[in-house]
Order: sequence, then C-alpha cells, then structure tokens
Amino acid sequence: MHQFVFAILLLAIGANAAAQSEVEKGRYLAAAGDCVACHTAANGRPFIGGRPFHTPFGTLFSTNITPDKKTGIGNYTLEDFTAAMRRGEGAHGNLYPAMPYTSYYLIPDEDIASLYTYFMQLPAVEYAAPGNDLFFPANLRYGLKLWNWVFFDKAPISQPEGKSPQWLRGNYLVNGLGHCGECHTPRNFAFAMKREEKLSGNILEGWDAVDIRPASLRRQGWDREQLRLLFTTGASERGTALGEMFSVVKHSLSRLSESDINAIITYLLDDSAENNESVAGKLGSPQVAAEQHTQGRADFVAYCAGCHGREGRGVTLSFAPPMDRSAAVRGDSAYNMIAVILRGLPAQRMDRINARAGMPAFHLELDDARVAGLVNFMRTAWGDAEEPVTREEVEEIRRQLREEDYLGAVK
Amino acid sequence: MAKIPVSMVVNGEKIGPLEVEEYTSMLDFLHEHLNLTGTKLGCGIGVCRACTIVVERDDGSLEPVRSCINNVGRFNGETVTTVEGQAEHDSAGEIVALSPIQQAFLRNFSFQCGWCTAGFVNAATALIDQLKREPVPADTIEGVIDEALGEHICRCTGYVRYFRAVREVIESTPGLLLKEAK
Amino acid sequence: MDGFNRDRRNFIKLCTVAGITVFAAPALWQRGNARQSEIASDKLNWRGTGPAPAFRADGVAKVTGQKIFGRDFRARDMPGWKQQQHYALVLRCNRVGRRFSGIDWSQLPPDAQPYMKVTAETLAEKKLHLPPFYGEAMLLPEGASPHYYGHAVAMLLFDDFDKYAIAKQALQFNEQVIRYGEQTPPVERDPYASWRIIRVEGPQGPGGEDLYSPMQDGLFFPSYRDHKAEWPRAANQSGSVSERGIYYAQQIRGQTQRESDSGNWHLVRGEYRTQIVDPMTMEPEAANVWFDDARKTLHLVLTTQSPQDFQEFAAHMLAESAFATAIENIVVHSSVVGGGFGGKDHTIFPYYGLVAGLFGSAPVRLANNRFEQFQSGFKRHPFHMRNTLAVDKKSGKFQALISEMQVDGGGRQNFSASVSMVGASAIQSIYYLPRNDISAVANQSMNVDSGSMRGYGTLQTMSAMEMMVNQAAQELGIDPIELRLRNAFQNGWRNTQGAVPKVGVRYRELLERAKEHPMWRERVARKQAFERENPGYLFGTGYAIATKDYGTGAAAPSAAVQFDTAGRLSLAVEFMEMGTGIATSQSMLLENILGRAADHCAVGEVDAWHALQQVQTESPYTMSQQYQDQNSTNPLWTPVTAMASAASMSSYFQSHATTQAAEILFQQGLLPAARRLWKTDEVDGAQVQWRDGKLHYRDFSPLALPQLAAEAHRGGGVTGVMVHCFNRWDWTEADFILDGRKWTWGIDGLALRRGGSAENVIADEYQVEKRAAVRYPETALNNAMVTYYAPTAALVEVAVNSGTGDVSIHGLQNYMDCGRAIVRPLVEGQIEGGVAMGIGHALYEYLPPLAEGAGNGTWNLNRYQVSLAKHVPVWNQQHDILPPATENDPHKGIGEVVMIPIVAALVEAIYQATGKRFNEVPVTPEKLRRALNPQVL
Repeated sequence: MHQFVFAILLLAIGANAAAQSEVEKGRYLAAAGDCVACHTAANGRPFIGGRPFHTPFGTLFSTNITPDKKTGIGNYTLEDFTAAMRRGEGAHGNLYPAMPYTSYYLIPDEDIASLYTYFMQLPAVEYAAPGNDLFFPANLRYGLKLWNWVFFDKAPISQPEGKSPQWLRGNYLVNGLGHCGECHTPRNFAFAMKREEKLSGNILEGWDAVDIRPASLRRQGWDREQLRLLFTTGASERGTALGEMFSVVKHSLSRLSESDINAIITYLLDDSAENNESVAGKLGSPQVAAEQHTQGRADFVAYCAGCHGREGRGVTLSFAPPMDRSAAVRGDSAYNMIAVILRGLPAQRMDRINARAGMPAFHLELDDARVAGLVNFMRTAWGDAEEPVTREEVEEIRRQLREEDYLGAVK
Repeated sequence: MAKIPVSMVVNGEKIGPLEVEEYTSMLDFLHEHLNLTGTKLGCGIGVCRACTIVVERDDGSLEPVRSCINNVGRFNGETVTTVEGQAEHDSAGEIVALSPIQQAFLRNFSFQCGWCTAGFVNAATALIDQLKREPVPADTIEGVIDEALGEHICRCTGYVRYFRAVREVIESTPGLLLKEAK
Repeated sequence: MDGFNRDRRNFIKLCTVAGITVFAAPALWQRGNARQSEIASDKLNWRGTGPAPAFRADGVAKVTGQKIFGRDFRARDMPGWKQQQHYALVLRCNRVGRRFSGIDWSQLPPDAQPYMKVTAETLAEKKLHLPPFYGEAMLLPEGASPHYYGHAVAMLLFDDFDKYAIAKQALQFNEQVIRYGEQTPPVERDPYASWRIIRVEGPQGPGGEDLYSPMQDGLFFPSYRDHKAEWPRAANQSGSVSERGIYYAQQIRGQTQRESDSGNWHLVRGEYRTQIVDPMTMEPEAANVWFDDARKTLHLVLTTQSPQDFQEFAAHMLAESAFATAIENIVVHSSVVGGGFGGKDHTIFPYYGLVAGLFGSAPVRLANNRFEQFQSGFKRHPFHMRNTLAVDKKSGKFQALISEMQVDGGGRQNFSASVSMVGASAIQSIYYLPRNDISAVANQSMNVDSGSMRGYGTLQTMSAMEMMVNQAAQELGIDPIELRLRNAFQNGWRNTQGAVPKVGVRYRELLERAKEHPMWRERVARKQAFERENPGYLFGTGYAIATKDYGTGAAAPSAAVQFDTAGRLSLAVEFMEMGTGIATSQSMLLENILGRAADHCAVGEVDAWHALQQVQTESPYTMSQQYQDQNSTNPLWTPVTAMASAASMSSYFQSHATTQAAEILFQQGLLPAARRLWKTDEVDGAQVQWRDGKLHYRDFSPLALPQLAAEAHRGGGVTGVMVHCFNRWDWTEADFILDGRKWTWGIDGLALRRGGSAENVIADEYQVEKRAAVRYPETALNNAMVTYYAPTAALVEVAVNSGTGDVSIHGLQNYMDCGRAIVRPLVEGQIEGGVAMGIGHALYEYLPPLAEGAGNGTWNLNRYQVSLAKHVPVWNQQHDILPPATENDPHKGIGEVVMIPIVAALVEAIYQATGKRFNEVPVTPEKLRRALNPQVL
C-alpha cells in the first residue's frame, strides 16, 4: 500500500520521478497479478520460473520472466509482452493456458506498459526452467491455437449499470489482473474455464477453491471485516487460507493497498446491491447435531476441540480458527472440511508475527464413516446444510486425494 | 459439564472406566486423574512435541501422538505408553532396566533440563518401531531422524546429542537399515 | 495427616525474618532419587566405572519421567498436605492506555464458578504488597490504567480441576471479561538506572595508572528530567568525580572527531539494536501453595531458580500483611528447574502463587500455560546502541569506543539496573581500549518486564562490538582475525572500568587456532566452489569471538562434604540444578581430592547452611570499607549469606566452595586418620596422592577411603566440612585456629562434623568454627564491576537462499576456553545448547513491542520461532576446547558465552554471502528475502 501511495506521490515530481513511478506502479501491479507465485520455484529466486504445474495433460514448468536475453524475456518488445499477456502468444509459439492470459486479456494497455517497464528493469538472471512434460497431443503447441479459438472467450469486462467505481475496480482486480477465476472457476474437459459458472468453485490440487460468488460468500457468513482479515493476514474467524490461497495472500493480497482490498471485497460481496445483510441462511443447532450425530460429536470433542475449542468456539485465532463461525462449515460443499480432516494442514508463516501451526492429518485414524459423522455433526451444529455427507462421498474424496498423493505428506 | 466414561491401558495397566469431563485433554487426564506427570506441557498447542506419548495401533505398530491437543476421548479403548512406561520395572515398581533409547540418551548426555526428554523418548521409540517394520537405506539415516524428531523443541542442548543417540540405536539394532549388497 | 515439624529432618529452620520463621524442605525429588539409588544396579549407576561419569546424576530420573520438577507436584504428592488440590488462574490486561473499570463476572460459565476472587481490593484489605524489588500494583486496582501489557487484575480460585479448566478456556482470550473505561496517558516513570563508564589510559600505558576510570575515580550518575537521563554538563579536570568524568568524556569525543577529520582514525559508526526475546524455558512457571492455617504454616512448591531470596522477600511480605499473625512458618520446597537460562531467576510469578495459596481453602496450584508464560514471564532486555569505534588506520589499533545504550526494562524493574551495567561493561569484548565513554540507561516502558535472562546484557552489547570489528576489518582491508590479534586484551591490562581481570585470558591462542582452520584459510575458494555448484545460493564465512564476564561481584556459594563410616561421600551444594549437570560435575570434583566422586549430591540445598550461623546486614554493593572492616570483626558476619543460581556461575563459584570443603576435609579428616593408620607423626601433604582409589604415601601401605573414613569416625575426627565463601572479584580469605594451629583457607565461614550418622548433610550434626581473622576483598572493587572472563569463538559458514532468504548453516566450529572442563560431554552439551539459542537470537526469535507483543497474551510457539533441529548444524558441529594452561586453571562457566559469538559470526557470514550488512537482530529470512529481492513488492 505504501509503495502505491509513494508511486502516486512521485508522479507529481517530474520526468525522472515519473519513470521511477512507472516501475513502482509495475511493481505493485505485478504483486496484484501475483506473478511471483507461479514464476518462482519452491525455494527459488523470484521470477526466474521453474515451478512445476501438474495438469491432467502432464507437467508444465513456469518460465523465466526476468529480462535475460537467453533464457528470459530480454528480447521482448512491448508488443511481444502484450501478446504474451493478453493472447498467450509467446516468442516460441503459444503459451499453455496455465499462463492466465484468459484473464489477463482484461488488463488495459497502460497497466501492461507499467508491468513491461517493471519486468524489463529487473536484474536479469540466466536460468532455463526444465522442459515441459506433456502427453500427446497436448505436447504440440500448435494445438493451442485451436484451443484458443475454441475456448478462449475474449468477452470484454462487464460494466453493469449502477455499480460503484469501487465495484468496477474490484471487478478488474478479481477477474483480470488478480485472475481469481483461474482457480475459482470450474474447468471443462479441455481445462478451460466455464464462463457461465464463473467463480462458482473448483477442485484444484486436492482443495476446493470455493464458490466466491456474492450469495455464497454471504451465506457462509463472510462480511467486509472478515474478508479484510483473510486477505491481509491469511486468517479470520471464518477460516484460514488453505493451500495455494495462502501463497496468494502472502505474496499478493497482503501487499495491496487498502483501497484495492476494499474494491475486491466490494466486488466479491456485491456490496453496492441491496443484498447486503451480513449473514444469510439459518445457523445450525448443536443440540440437534449432538442427537443426530452422536459419534460425530464424540469425535469432535476427542479430536478437534483441543484446538478448535469447547463447543467449537475456538481458543484464540492466532492459534486455530473457531468452527462455530466457520465458512467451510456453513458452505454448501463439504469438500474442504473432509480434505482438511484427511490431509491436515502444513504450518504457515507470513512473517515473524503472523504464523500458525499445522493441523495433524487424520486419514490413518478416522475411517470414511467417522469422517462423515464428524463433518455432519459440525455442519448440523454450526451450518445450514440440507444434505448430510455420505460415507461414499468421503470415500471418493479420500480416493482422489490418495491418487494425487496428498495423503501422508503432513503428519 | 458432561462426563464420559474413559477406559484404556496405560503403561500396561488397565485404567477405568473413570468418569472424566469430556473436554479434558489427554495431558490433563494423565496429570490430574492418573498422577502421571512425566508427560510434559511445553506449548499446549501441539507445536513443541514435549507432550508426545505413544499409542499402539491395531496392527501393533507405535504412533507418536501429542497429548496436549488431543482430548481424552481419542484414547478411549487404546493402549498407551508414556515415558513412565518405557523402562522395565519389577513388581515393586522399581526400575530394573532402561530401554535402548533411554540408555542412549543417558550415554550421550542428550538432555540437560530434561523437560523435552519424555517427548524425545517416545517419538524415538516409535521411530525405532517404524524402522523395524520398514527398514530404510543406511545412507538416509540422518534424513529419517530429522524427519521423525525435527519438530521437537529442545532449548538446552541443541539437538546434537539426541540425534546422535538415536543414530547409535538405529545403527546398533539389527534390521533397521538396509545395506546395499556390494 | 503428617504434621509440620513432626520430623525434624524434613523441615529445617533456616532463619527468622521479621518474626516469621523460614524453613526449607529437602529438595523433593531427592527422596525419590535416594530410594532408587539403593536398588540401582551397575547399569543405573551414573558414576559408572570409567574415569568420566557414565551419565548425568539426575539422568535416570529425567529419562524415566519421575516427579522431580516443581510443576510436577500435586497436593497428593506432598507428605502431610491436605489432599484436595485447588487451582488458580490470573486475569491479565491485554492492553494499556485505558482505565481498568472492573470485571464482567457474568462471563464465567455457571458450572465453573470460583470460590474466591482476589482483586487489588482484597490485597489492600489484607495489606499484601509486592516486595519492593518488583514495584507496586501486584493486581491493578479498579480505576487505574494498566502499567504495562499483561498487568494482572484478578486471581480466581477453583475447588476442582474441571471448573478451573472450563473457566480458563472461557476467560483467557475473552475480550469481554476485563472492562476498560476512558483513555489515559501512558504510564511513564524515571529510568530504573543509569551508568557511565569513562576511562582514559594514563602515560604508563594499558597496565599503568589511568588518567580517569570508574575503578580509580568512582561512579557518577545523571539526574532525570521528563523521565530521561541528563548527565551533568560541568567539566573540570581537577573537579569532582563527575566533573572530571565529563572532562575526559569530552576529551575522548573531541579527539575522536579531530583524528577522524585529519584522516588518522577510521570510524565505524552505527546504530545497533537487539530484539525482545523470551527465555522460552521449556517448563512454564508454576507454584503449588498450601496455607495450613491450623499450624500457621505456608508451604510452597516453586519452579524458581532463586528460592533463597524468595524466602526472605516472602517473609517480609507476609510480616507486613494482615497474615502476620496467622503465619509463623514458611516452608519452601525446592525442586529441579525445567530450563532456567536466567528466566526463572527472581521472577514475580511465585508471589502470585503465594497470594493464591493464602486465600485458598486447600493447596492451590497456579500454573501458567504457554500463552500466559509469554504474557507474564520476563524477557531478555532489548538494547538500542549508538556506537562509534575509532581505529588507527596505520596500526589497526583501537583508539576509542563511544557507546550510548538505551535499554528497555519493561513495566517492572527487576534486574534492569544490573543488566544495563553488565551490558555496558561487557561491550569491550576481548579488546583493549585506551579510551572509552560508555553510557547505559535502563528505561521503564509498557512492555512485559525484562529480567536476568541468559546473556545478561553482554550478548546484546558484545555482539554489536564484534559486528563493528568485522566491519572495521572489511573497511580497512585487514584480515578480521589479524585485526583482533592486534587489539586483543592481555593479562595485566586494564579493562574499560580500569580493573585488571583476575582470570588469565588466552585470546591470542583462540584467535590463532581459528586462523589456521581450513574454513577460514580457504574461505574465498570455498565460497566460489559452493556458489558454482549451488546456483541461487550465496555462501559466506564469518568469525566472531566473545568473552563472558560472569559473576555478580557478590558471590556467596556454600558447600558441604562428608563421609560415613563406609567411606561413602555426600555432597551438598547451594546451586540449583537447571539442567547443566551441576550434581554430576560437582560430585566429580571430589575425585582428585578425596579419591572418589560423591555418592550422593544434594543440589539446591538451602537448609543445611544455618549450621554456619552467619548473618548479613547491608547490601554488599553499597557498604563502605569502614563498615565492612567493623563488621568483619564479628566472626559470624558475612557480606552475603546466599546467592541465586545461574548456570554459567556454577562452575566457577560453586566449584571453589566444593573444592575448598573437600580439601579441608582431606586435611582435617583424612590425613589425621592416615597418620594414625600409618603410625607416623607427620605426613608431607605434597607427597600424598590418590592412585587406583587408594591413598599412597612413600612406602606406607596404601589406604582406601573406607579404611580412612572408618578410622576418622572411630577416632572422633572430622568427618564433614561445611564452608561458605564470598567473592567480590576476588576470594575472601580467613584464618582458623584448629587444634592450636593456624589454617588459612579461601572461605569466610566454616562448620565441622565430628562423628555423625546422618546419610545426608544436615545442619544439626555440624559445629560452627569461628574464624580468627578474615580478609574480605576491598569494597572499592565494587567499582570494578566485572573482571572474570571465559572466552569463546565461533567460525561459521552459511548458505543463503537468494530467493527465500533462508539461511542454512553449512559448517560450525566453536573454540572455547573453559579452564578445566569437569565433565566434557556436559561442557559440549552446554556449547551445543548455547549455539542453538544463539542461532535463534541471530536469525529467528522475535517479539514485537507493546500491543502486538507478548503482553497481549496471544503468543505461543506457533509464532515465536525458536531454533529447531533443521536450523542447527546437528550433524556437523565441531568443538575445540583448549586444554587447560595449568593444572590450577579454574573451572569457568560457559552457559551464556557460547551463544554470543555465534550471533556476530552469523551476521558477518551473511554479509560475506550477500553483501548486506545488518546491525539489527534477528536477521530473519523475511528481512533477507526483502534485502536480496528489493524489486519484489
């Protein structure tokens, strides 16, 4: 935020400062676009690429986007850069749509230019990411042209009447630069986002990138303050950022200006519309839950309450979130509850002050029926789920997680 | 306040059924109900591993479990070993012989204040049990120990002597390491 | 129920303070230990058969989970106590700046009601006040604004565990419980203490008379205005101590500026900061306290490192309260401490336990969980220093050091005065400085109070000095070790206070050794090779050295050694066991003198010493020479009767007492017995020696200890010796007349046992021997501040991940001069522990100040990162312990010193790797990531 304000202040100071501010602006936009998350390998240097992406078609590696002439984007002109950002057209053919040009096409010229200025002045690092390891026919780049032609829907950004400037800015940040839909929108057989189901949630890397449409967020109890806490600290009473979302908070959202965070929240909650009650949906009944799910309650008390508190009320947020106000518990989908119970969570550290312990995995100890009972107890006690989770659903999620090797990583 | 009946086997002794407030942590149960205070509270939030005890799984394998973040109900019907149960005792309750891990910790002067010792004894004992079932290549031994004990916090002795002691036990116990044939 | 005083051996009268008699119970765990030693087979015998002990004396108890720690004991474990256990919890403010306007008791669940609520009102009613050492407002009165984050407001007592546990979870993080009213200005008070150390070398050089120094001229102090220190301004070369001091301070500053301006001196100038650190002793503090009103007795089981002072403070506290008539006796049960690091020395916690007990209707247990320990337990003092080091460009010799230190003492005073003084006097590190002007001000703040935690100021200031030296070397183009060699302090020279250290220093030897190490010699090639093979990683090598001044200037250890008719040795020492293995090492000390190690060692002994019948009167720090001279004529007077335990002090100070007691026992007990058995009138002590467990002398038949012991007992000779010693930067000597002969020993109090049958040391069997004359160190030595040193150095290699900023330690070589190591694996364990804690201080451990800090009650180990195994070179750490220079080298304490050089060595290695110089710790991965990747937002 300060850097952004700083950048704006500099605008007034003159030509040299303006050049500087272009870099500063690009630096901010790169954070908002979370370029670093994908273009950095685990424990690697920022922006030099090499992070693997496991897709149904094989493994892709992100590329070096420092201005190294040999291995990076050193030879890119602004036009080349724009083509890559907007259309997925790289110097060596089409980029795979893991590069979110399917969202970035919404970035306006001036922002693209700032990003270009910023990237071109980074220290150039010579590093060649490993080659992609894709199956036929996905390993043939010329197929991407076809893919783009069929699936790349370049609808202009929506500009509905009566929306506030804040909402519009949020719309841009969420759907364009921030490319939230790349994870939160379901994909079809060809791994393309389903436009008609935009932001309605998607299973990715063993987590549910949840439905973040306004009605869903509100039903789960999200309000401005809780979203602000989640985006700036990674934790709120509604829950903590899981999986890749933690990285998004750490490297991108927590670096954004207050006004941009507000804009994102305004867009997500559709705050300018009249549906602005904070919590929709009825809340559950612990008493009914205890009667219906005796074993589930006993397991909650035995396994969960040590951290999530008596009656699910939490201990203190800096340690573990409460369950009686949890968005995951109130959500339509029980996927993340089941996945968290089975696979646990790794420890997360934002900085020296904000860090949380991991959660143990219970896949060895709790069978499908008990996980279902535990989830049903919580959803009945503190959520408004209509349909109970079945043993078979847990079984299926467990099977998927095991297949994708997500069980057993966290102790 | 609701109470639940609790029964389990602790250090070979059948306990219960006892009526216990349902939200009682296993650590508090050991301390306040059984007067077994060898298991230590360090952080109370499952980070430091001082409170680690051992639970016997159905297949007889041993699992290290943190007693501070798990409530007593998780251990109902289970067979549990705490640090008090790791040595061999005679009928009068006096110590007759120490376990190999306990001996190695003594021999190596592994600990100073001793507060984290119970957790290390139990986790290392579970590791030895795991290696009996699934031996590992000899050249991975350091990584295996790091992985099994790496989260345990010791504030006095800087880990060196604990890890060295565990290595000694692994290397001197037949069958824990796979040796590549030359 | 067993009653108090039914068994004289269990409760021993210590002293009477203000009408209340203080008793001490034998260390709780030793009952269990004794029981076990009887059945112990060879395998369970710690001594083993080799020259070194097989394992720690307390090892079996610790590795089998026996009840030994203060926190372990419940009412039912305590013989004679009422069996029910009650529980207490403390409510603490998580904010400041508003008035505390009461407590919303409706937040207490109906099934978790306390039977007693103690508030400031209750305390006032009963006239209960904290000992003055801790300040006021033990519980914050309604209407007042919290003095600091974490200020306690109430204490609740519960008659069963479940109620307590339910209430604790309902209240601990509940924002509704404590109510706050209108805003108030922050609570501000004058600094706790200020110090100034000015010295200018005289014409005779480093060892000659100074032009000015605290040792020679004395100390002077500032006045306080707006709660800030204002030093006197008047300067006069022949004026008062302050006028002369200010005159020389101006000289130093003026000369430094001139020489720098004219290009002769190179200045390293910077601001150096250290963070707030929690001792993170693994055992959180606890107390179990029973007020036995029928017997007018208060029993306490504590986790403190300093039970002696607690007893005295507590007695005064009660004597001045409404409980004065209800309590006649205080009984303190000592126990093993689960991690000390100074973090359990003079903490305020036991007084809350005491108050809880006073209002309990059964024994009350007050036990911090980790959140509460972070919120209420004291911290390491953060230092903010503005330093200038002047180096002569030609010779590379240090010319002047100017340092201004601001020290955050937190919301209560505790040891801030002494920590700031020790920090200021330690910044010289191993170097000789011809001129220095060092000031330190310990300030009050609204942070959780800072206390005596490991490092005690020296870690903070000496690390800064080492960073400056490394920077100077870089900037002057001199090899860092070479620069150190040119400036190393030498025996006989004066330190920054003007005192001449009493313990020989071997800095050159340590420096030379590191110079030859391949890690150092080949550091450039190693960096190139590593970075070539590991792209993305930056490699660097750093070196630093430190020397820990230890001691308090008023050390008063006691020890007693005795043998039974079978020659079994019992030892009692005053120091507590905090994990360092003192029972083991002190027991081993007897071997050279008495032929074998102690069979039993009682640590933390408090009860036996009253046999010495000593009295103390005034503070040893402030008494005049005349006062000391007058009082010394009383053969039972001593400047200090007892002292707190600090790990790094045990080996030096306690070893002196133990060795003295053993030697006297040899001379007075064993030699006369040997003479009788050998039937010779005179034995030349110099020719007697122990070999294979037997005492050899010329051609006489060798004698085993059991023979000698039996003879001593039979003949009514001396069978036990108890001594008290006093050290004010020098040991006291006293003369004693025994059997018409004059003996001179390094002690000031003596009691002897003749015959006797008790297995352990007990006061009743000892008779005091009054000294004939005593020579206490002069009171002027108080100005010397500190003069004992144990040096250590670290050579470290790091690899920094240029993307994440993660630092991994590639190699680590420690160098150490600990004099004569008593038990090598214990010393090595201490080194490795110090290294881990030093790494934490340098790279990870951090608590923010004020509202976000530990005082807000939400801190725990998920956020506060101490070193884990992966942060420590577990598999590749080397120690080079210098062999003792002479057989008479002292045993030097090392607990604290090891963690000091590692800090500056790491900071330097990071600089060598990355080109980024940090003057502020911790150098966290986040800071490094940012510094290395400034282009990423």
